[in-house]
Amino acid sequence: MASKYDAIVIGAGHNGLTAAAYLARAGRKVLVLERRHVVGGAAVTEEIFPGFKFSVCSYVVSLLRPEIIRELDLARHGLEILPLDGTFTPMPNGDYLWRVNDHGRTFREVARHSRKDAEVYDEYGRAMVEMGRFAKAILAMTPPNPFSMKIRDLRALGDLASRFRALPERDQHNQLQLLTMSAVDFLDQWFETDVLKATMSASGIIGTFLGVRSPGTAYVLLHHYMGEIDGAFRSWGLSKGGTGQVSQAIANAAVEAGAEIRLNAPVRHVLVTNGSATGVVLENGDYHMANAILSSVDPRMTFMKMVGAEHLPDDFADDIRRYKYRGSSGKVNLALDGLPDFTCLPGPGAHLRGAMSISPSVDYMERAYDEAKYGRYSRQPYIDIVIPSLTDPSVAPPGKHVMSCFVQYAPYDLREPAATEGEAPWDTHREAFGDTVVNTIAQYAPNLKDRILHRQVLTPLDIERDFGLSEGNIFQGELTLEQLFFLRPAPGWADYRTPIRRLYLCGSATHPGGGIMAAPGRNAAMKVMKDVR
Amino acid sequence: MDVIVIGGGINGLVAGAYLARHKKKVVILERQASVGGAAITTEIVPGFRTPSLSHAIGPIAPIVMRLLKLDRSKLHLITPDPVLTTLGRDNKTISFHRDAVLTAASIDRLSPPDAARWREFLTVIQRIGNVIAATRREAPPPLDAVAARDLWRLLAHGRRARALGKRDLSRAIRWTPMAVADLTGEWFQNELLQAAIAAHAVFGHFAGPWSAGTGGLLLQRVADDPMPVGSGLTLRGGPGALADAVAHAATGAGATIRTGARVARILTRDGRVTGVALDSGEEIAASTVIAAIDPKQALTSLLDPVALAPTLAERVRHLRMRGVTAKINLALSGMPSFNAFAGDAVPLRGRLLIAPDLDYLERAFDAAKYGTASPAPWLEIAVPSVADPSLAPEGQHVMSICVHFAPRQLRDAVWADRKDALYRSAMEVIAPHTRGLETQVIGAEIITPEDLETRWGTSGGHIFHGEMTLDQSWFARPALGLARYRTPIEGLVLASAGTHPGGGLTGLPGLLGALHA
Repeated sequence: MASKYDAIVIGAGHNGLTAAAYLARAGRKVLVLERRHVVGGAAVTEEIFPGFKFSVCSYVVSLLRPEIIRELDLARHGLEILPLDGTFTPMPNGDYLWRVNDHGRTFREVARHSRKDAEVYDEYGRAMVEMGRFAKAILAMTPPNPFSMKIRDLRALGDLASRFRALPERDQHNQLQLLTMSAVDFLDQWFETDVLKATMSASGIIGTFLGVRSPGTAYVLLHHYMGEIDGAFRSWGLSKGGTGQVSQAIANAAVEAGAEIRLNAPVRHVLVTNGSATGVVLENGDYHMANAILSSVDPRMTFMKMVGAEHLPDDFADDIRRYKYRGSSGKVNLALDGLPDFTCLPGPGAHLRGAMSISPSVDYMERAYDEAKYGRYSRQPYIDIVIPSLTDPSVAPPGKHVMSCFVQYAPYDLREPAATEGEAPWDTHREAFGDTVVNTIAQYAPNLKDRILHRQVLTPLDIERDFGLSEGNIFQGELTLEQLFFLRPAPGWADYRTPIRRLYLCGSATHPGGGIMAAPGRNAAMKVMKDVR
Repeated sequence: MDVIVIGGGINGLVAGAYLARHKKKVVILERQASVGGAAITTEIVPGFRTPSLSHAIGPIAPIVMRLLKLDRSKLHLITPDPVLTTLGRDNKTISFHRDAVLTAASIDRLSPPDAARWREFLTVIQRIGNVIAATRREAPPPLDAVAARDLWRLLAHGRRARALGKRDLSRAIRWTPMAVADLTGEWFQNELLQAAIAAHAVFGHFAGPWSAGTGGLLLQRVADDPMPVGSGLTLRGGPGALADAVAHAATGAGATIRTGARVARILTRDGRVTGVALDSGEEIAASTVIAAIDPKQALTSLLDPVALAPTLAERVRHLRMRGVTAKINLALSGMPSFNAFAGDAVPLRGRLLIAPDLDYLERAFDAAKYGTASPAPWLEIAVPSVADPSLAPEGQHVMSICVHFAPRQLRDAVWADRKDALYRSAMEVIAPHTRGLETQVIGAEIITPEDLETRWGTSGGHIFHGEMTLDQSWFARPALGLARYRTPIEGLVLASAGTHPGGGLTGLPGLLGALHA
């Protein structure tokens, strides 16, 4: 059974769907093949326990590109972003730090900890917004290739350098620092309140195998300010109906434009003939031919599993093997029959409606990382908690709640003993890890344990098994400098093309990387439309 | 006086000598009793002279040698071979030789696949190092008005970089922001070997092998010195002999050197430098002042706070200079006996390293992050009296130990109370590798990062006058707006390890500073 398409997209995550939607809207005949029974990839909503709908993996929407929302008309297709207001950090001494979008309240709150920090907080925000403008342009572009001899690439590099040089010196200074410094070193220059720095720096480590004191973590601090620039929506929000609704909206847009989405259709091989991708073979033996194949799965899955190293140039195969994943995060999803009650701020206040961050001090964050470096999961982990059911009651039965706990660090390569030989260490330690997370939160909200009806624990191993993300890396590869921009995923191949003609990458392993941005999907689709008539 | 040079370290001496040779009236002011800065040799017990801080030099850049007409033959350089032996667990060792074949043979005993890759590794990293080295012999490019000459130079660098070819160019770009642990992991399997290279990269820095950007530190090191574990060059008479030679070149050209002359203030009027005031009250007038001391001290402690624009002053205050190096110098009653060498003195001509694996290095660094000294520090050891018997009475020896990590800021203690603990922890690390070392100790000198700050005057006790991370390198060293040696104060010039191309006793910052004075 063969059928011919203009383009086949492997994987129906938000990026794959975005690429499909753009291609279909351009009149291309598109087939999307998804391994699982549901679209979304890691941006998925699933009813794991009856009545409780979980954003199983990705749980907040941050940087979904406004132009994509606009161009695909996602609002009409069911996307609604609900604001997630504020970050609440309980502290072991019984105090807390609670920052909200209300400027006056945040000022008073930060001033409670440090008058100086409160005063500098605004200036910091303004500086970050300025920085964000420069960074935003980079997110949207296809990286130039510094390894090519083409005038066009050289000029693109030159333009980038000129743009940097055109910045005021103060911004150059900040930009340089953000790119290379650790989040804590950067924040040390502005603030003195430990818990404030700890909580802010947490955004720099999400999904990476780095600590808050590791150089290169400062840059993500910007992401919190980039959403603001667009004015379209707040930088952090929840998708109504769960994160899966983002994917569903994009899928709706794709289908409306004529794309075909096939679920339970895992791809076994990408067919390569004379260095060109010509089609795919499914696990069930079906095959489909196409003029272009776009893979939204990560490079290891794409090239080592589906294409096969024998079709790749040696250098490229080396680069793909060397590309680092090193998943470091876990997820604990809880079904609750009531709300947690924080000792430091009792009652069901507005603080539960935002993010709750277990990040009491910089040292706490760094020690959590130190344990992971030596192969243990953090015994006192950093946890980012949201309770989406407070903002969006549709995801839980009346009076009940879902609680999402994102946890670091949970190293994929766990070097703790397995119970039996041959068992993966994570299979031995999964529930103990879950207990650690619950106990850690219970230090601040002791009633939590009694509220839990169901618990789902996702280790990096589970994320790899269930969602096909190598080593459980939620961003399809570490977001470290040596794997960003024109180096992502391999030097010379950052323009969504691959050494296999007519095979493209369109997932988070390409520039600008992970998070629900959908920019890789859009950029890749544009490239295909240009290359393949 | 035409020129005052503050600081008689290698860079100050080089700057002073260069300007004196160009007919300037120069005075070099050194706060300590002798010149040399990090390159001094001190008698710690009568008859026993040790390198106080650095027990190896540069190597001093050839261009500096040439311009100062330093005679290589008179310097009595000692080029040890093996340059370094790393002592692993169970008496396993790797010796790094000047000859790659011998090094490979040594690695082969522990890890044949690594031995097979050693030469390729050397070739690749040295090719990349050479391209970087070219940028280190000249001032960083300006970011504002780019003159034709600067553009030409940049293009030349670009061409050299492209000549590397795609594979090595992409390596250079990837490795710079990477952790050195990942870099060594791409090439080698043996942990002892990986740790030896990583240790060289993080030496003196507030960074562990898993810190991002330490790959770049290694490349900078290799640009200055092609051995990826350091060549460990020294001179007869210790590193102080280098300082003496440069000082001699300076005075020979007419410069005056004043020791024990401590500058209290840099004097300015209407945005121009007018001279300096010593803490004795004496004032010396000059139209040019070269600050061959760390930039933070020069621009914040010695300068009137209103002389510098607030944004720049703040930037300088925030320079990261978290010193992590301590030094232990020992006078020994006899030749130290290392288990691994079975009486062979040849390896002792080079340096020794105790850093058995990457995790060991990383754990040592972990302590520094929380403001404590490493309970199990990694050590670089030299026994300079083996190759240079003039340093100790006959049959007796001196030992020089660099201890990492010893953070300048201790959280719950002051260094004065922690000296003994530092000594003890170092001895405990060495003890399993030696027989009876402690019984041979006649005298000891312990230098903490606090001493580096109080005696040498280096802010934060940082041996490189500021961390050499990406945001404090090249056109941003010490900071954006100050990287071209001149400061907004007319006539005030920076020329220390705190400026491009950074620390390591190469003499280059001094020379480049002088060229821009």
